[in-house]
Amino acid sequence: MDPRIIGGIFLGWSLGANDSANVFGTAVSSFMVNYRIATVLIAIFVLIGALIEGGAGLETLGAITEQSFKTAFIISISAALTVAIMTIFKFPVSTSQAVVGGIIGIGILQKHIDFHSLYKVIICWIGTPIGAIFFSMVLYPSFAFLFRKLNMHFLTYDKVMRFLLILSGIYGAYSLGANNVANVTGVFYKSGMVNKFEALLIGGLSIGFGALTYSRNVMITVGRKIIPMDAFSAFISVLSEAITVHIYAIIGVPVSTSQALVGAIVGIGIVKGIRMVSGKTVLFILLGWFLTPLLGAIFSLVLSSL
Amino acid sequence: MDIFSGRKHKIAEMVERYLVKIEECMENFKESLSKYLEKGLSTEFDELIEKTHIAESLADDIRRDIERDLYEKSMIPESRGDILGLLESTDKVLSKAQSVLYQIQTEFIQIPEFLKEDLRKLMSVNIEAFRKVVEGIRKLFENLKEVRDITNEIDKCESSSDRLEREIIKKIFQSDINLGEKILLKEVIIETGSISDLSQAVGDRLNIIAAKRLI
Repeated sequence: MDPRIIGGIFLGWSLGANDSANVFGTAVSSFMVNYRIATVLIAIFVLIGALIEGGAGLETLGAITEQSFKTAFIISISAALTVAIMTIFKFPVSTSQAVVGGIIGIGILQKHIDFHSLYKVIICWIGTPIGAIFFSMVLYPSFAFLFRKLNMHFLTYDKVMRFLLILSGIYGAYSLGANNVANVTGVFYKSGMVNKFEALLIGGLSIGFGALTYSRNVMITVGRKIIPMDAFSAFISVLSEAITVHIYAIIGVPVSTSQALVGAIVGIGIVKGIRMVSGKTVLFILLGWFLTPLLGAIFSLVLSSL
Repeated sequence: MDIFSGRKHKIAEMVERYLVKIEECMENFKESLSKYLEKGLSTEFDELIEKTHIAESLADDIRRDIERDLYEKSMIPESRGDILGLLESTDKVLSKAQSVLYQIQTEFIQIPEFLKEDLRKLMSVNIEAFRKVVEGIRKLFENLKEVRDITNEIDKCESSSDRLEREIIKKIFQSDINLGEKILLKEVIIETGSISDLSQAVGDRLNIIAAKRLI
């Protein structure tokens, strides 16, 4: 295997380190689930998700433009640099958008971009927070109705809530793997460096490796932002995020788990009639939609010309 | 209906033990005050105060066990915080009851004959408020939907107690006992009435805890 696959592995590692927070951040930072157990669960279920349902995303990202070993490597490095810079400036960055930015840069150089695939991807980006808003607005009252009917007593409620938080975290990890594995190895698969199974395996393992080795800080930070919510809202937000991201995995478009989570929290706010996400966060997401792919494209253009 | 209640929770069992002990403590409080109203300051009164104190200490021990257990068990922080807050606010009611007895004992308070019946009524209303607190906590572990009905009853007790307090204080200051005694008696009345005020605070907590889980 070509050693340039290391670019994808590095991107997968940073994705795992960053996005684990979106599935287990609340449970870990509030000490409901031990950090080590959470990361092991993430690593296992990301890999399962990648292997079972990650294939569709590989096809979509691969279709945007032609790839060689060299361009695949450049895209993964461009995306990694974009993620690093956006993180330094505290922008909620989406790896999916950084990768697509890198692909567009290469596409511009090759004067070949499949706009049909590109539009599909962009529509899904916009649809991610909207989808999550929809799901949380539907799931919140539905589960609330069910909980009222069950009328669980205090301690049973606690047990059920813990179980559901872990379950939604596991589902979130599965969706993360299924959806985001294409970001990691999609371009390498298209370049022919690896076959489909290898792409999914390497991608899934590298995301899991990021979760296992470097996710604690982001998990605590993201989790603490969400903690002021009650356990029920935290569960609904992770579940809505997971369903949304899973649907886009089936469609075959890698999207941002962070943006899905923010969308889900906005939806809960709408149901409760309170504002749970600041205007600044929404503005940063909108800005990120332009800035992230732009930066990714610039990096891939610059690196290609070196 | 609680479809998950196959196994009795350990925490629920410990809380039940705590509730039995605080009920015992309140019964001792009632007995102490009744004895005092019947016989005034006496050795029997002192013994009953001691009995109340022992029951309160034992309840405290159980409370601390529950707190330790809560930290050892991995619970949602929300649940842990709710139980801790609930137990601590309940403990304040018990401490208040005990302090009423100590106040009478250490300040050698003498209740004039014309106030005894009113004080009995005040005591019953306040003890009733506390009994409802115990019932409310039990409902938390049985049926959340019934918690609100119980806390409404605590509110009623608190209002009755307030009304009675005002009437009694008025009677005290209309009487011809000396000013020093009037002030001491007023303090005892206010302190006794605080039992239902603090019970109401527990009731408010119970309402919030139940409301959060009934979403």
